[in-house]
Amino acid sequence: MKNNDKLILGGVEFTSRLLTGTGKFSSKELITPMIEASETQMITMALRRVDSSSKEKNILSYIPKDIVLLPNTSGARTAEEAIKIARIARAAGCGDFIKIEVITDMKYLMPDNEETLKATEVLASEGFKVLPYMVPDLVMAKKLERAGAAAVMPLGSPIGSNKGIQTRDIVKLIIENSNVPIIVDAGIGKPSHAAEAMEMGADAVLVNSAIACSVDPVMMARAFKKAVEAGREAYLAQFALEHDIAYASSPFTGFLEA
Amino acid sequence: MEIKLNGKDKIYNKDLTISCIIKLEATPRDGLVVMVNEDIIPREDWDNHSISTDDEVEMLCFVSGG
Repeated sequence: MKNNDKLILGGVEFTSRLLTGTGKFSSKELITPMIEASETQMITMALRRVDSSSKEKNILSYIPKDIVLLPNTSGARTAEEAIKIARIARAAGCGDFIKIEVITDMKYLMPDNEETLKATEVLASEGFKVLPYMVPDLVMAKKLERAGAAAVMPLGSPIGSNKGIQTRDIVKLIIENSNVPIIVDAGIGKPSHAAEAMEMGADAVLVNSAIACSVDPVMMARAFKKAVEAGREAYLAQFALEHDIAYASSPFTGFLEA
Repeated sequence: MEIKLNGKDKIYNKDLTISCIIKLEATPRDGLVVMVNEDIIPREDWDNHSISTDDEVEMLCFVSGG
């Protein structure tokens, strides 16, 4: 990734356009090498009650200090709960970034866009760098932008489904009409999906399940890193036009005709 | 002193500060947030903030998530 092609989120510069999560790994010991292989610079986590019966190390032990923490408001069912979680997360000393997730649908885990907007308005006014996770909707994306979101995160397909960018047509509209970074989140199941998102012009992608649930998460993290870089470079290089008819790649021979 | 800690009833022999409870429960302080009766207690106040009977204490920390 060229150093002059930076991703700017909430005033902070990133050279990596791959955000990763910490969920679903078979062992937390995989998180540190995954971070190294993916070269991610921002990582998500959740907030929960301390489990005093657990002997496991704190998740922060596995994350290098120079990685930007992106707590999520998972568990929130309303804007009010998301706001409460965000304030608690900031009190934990993780900085001002917050990924808003407001979900009441327990089958498909679809975010509630209306409650997400309410939470974004409040938290942005309190100085949070808000990254709202949303069901792709062009009108709502613009509302989130006006509410002060530092980026908008439309989902590709349901969390953990690995089905890729099923919402590509609407995501493309959002990308084309947005004045803030667009980070495709959820459902990215293969590096080719991540490359597709970047080729469409997405500013970044967030990948968790596809890495954590793969047979070799560290190798998969490396594959995603390459895919995101390839997709971004392809987008910047600008694509050759598509045609309905053929245009020969080799010149016609001039010596075979009798 | 009887309080609720993370939703469960807890009995301690005497009044304690937040720092004392953290130590007794062997809770790592990194990334820890403590709330007492819905109020977030700043880290710098943990040594001095005393917990009283019937207080509801929540100890929260970061965990894996996407």
